[in-house]
Amino acid sequence: MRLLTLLLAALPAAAGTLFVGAWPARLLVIDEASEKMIGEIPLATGVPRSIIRSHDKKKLFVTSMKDSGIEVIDLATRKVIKSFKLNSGGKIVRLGGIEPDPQDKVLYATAYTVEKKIDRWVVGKPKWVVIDIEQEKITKEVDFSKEDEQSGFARFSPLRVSPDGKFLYMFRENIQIYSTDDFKPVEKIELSKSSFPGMERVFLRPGDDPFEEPGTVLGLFNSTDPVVHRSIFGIAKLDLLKRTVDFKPVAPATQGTMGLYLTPDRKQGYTVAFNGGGMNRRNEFWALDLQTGQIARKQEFEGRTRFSFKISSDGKSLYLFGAGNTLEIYDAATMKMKKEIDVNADMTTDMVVIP
Amino acid sequence: MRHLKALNKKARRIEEYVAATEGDVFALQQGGPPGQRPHYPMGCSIVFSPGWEVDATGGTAGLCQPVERDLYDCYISCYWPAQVPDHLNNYPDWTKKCAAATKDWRNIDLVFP
Repeated sequence: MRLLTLLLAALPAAAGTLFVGAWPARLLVIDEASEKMIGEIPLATGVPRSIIRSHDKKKLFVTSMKDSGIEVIDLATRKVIKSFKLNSGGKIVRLGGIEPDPQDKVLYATAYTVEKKIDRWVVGKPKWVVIDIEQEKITKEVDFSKEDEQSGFARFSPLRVSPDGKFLYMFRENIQIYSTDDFKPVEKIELSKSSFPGMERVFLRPGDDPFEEPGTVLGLFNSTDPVVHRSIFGIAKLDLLKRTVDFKPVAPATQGTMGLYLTPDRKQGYTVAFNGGGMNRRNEFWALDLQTGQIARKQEFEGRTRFSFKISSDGKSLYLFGAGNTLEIYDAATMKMKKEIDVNADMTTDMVVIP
Repeated sequence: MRHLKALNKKARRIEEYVAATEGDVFALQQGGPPGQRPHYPMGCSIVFSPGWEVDATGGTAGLCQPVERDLYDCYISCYWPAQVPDHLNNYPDWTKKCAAATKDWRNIDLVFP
């Protein structure tokens, strides 16, 4: 047993790199192997708000809030190769969901404008925008349809592009599919009318998982049956080309989960589940066996009140970060905390794991 | 319609007692009246009282601890205009010298609106 422990300790740690936006205007670079911060990338446009990995996995797109800045970071050199602002004069652009096209040349986004007039601010209607990275500006604007305009949350909904680049998926109470040519709705996948029997309502949100199967969105869902209203949770897989959703129920629902992240072999997934609220909230790590569709292990932990969750590039460590200046590293096998890294800056974006 | 009106001190005390049992002020340990929750907006506070945000239960146990962990994100993602300086237009540099609020909050600039 002791020899096994020694052998496990001698195994190399994950060789990936973590990138996370932090106060006041930079990206922090953390080495997974040494579990140390190894550098930072200064940003020109202010406090980073969101961070997205490009489809070719060679770049990062970072948005900042103050001037609606867009910055492109080259992962090989860890340098900003493009930086521009969308705000101009008295016109402010507020971005919502953002998704690069498959060639990473443009960003599709939902947005609205706020214009400063001589005596007032005028808030514009929500619209689709296309941001051309090379031209460093918005090259196309299309107003939302009436239905989307009336849905207050449509402008913040997450987006995904189809592998062929022809369609854009917006994740709301249902999945709306739009043409990337004219942003006209072409189809709607009604989650409440899914193939899963007895389903009354279901929520599905895409995550940011480096090991997700290309062309698919894997997520956790909660559903309630219409007869006795019993809530269950499960794993849903959306095929972006076939436009089908496969539902696999797992267990009675919890109050909430934090997205599903896969191990490199895609056999296991990890999530954080919550039960109870306020001061009585309990946090648990769950390891899901994706082949049997069962909860393989779970462990309660004392998490901070607000945090984000990711797993390491080798699937052997679990990361809790955000809302503060510390990154907590848990061992995925024991689900116990093994290290806390102080990055000396408050984190303001999601974290991208680059294997 | 009220048919009775309290005329003396004792009657007014009875009236106050009855009103107190039906009011919406409850000790936190009582858990509040059934089916009701505190009337605070969940998350960010839009008023100066209590001066800091409260959680969905009206307490502070559901908030970041220490509260400084929440300082920046509250006004960036929630936009919390009453309690913190306006980063977007008037005071863009008020936290320029403070990277980690829990550690060096003393470096936050004073702002006099």
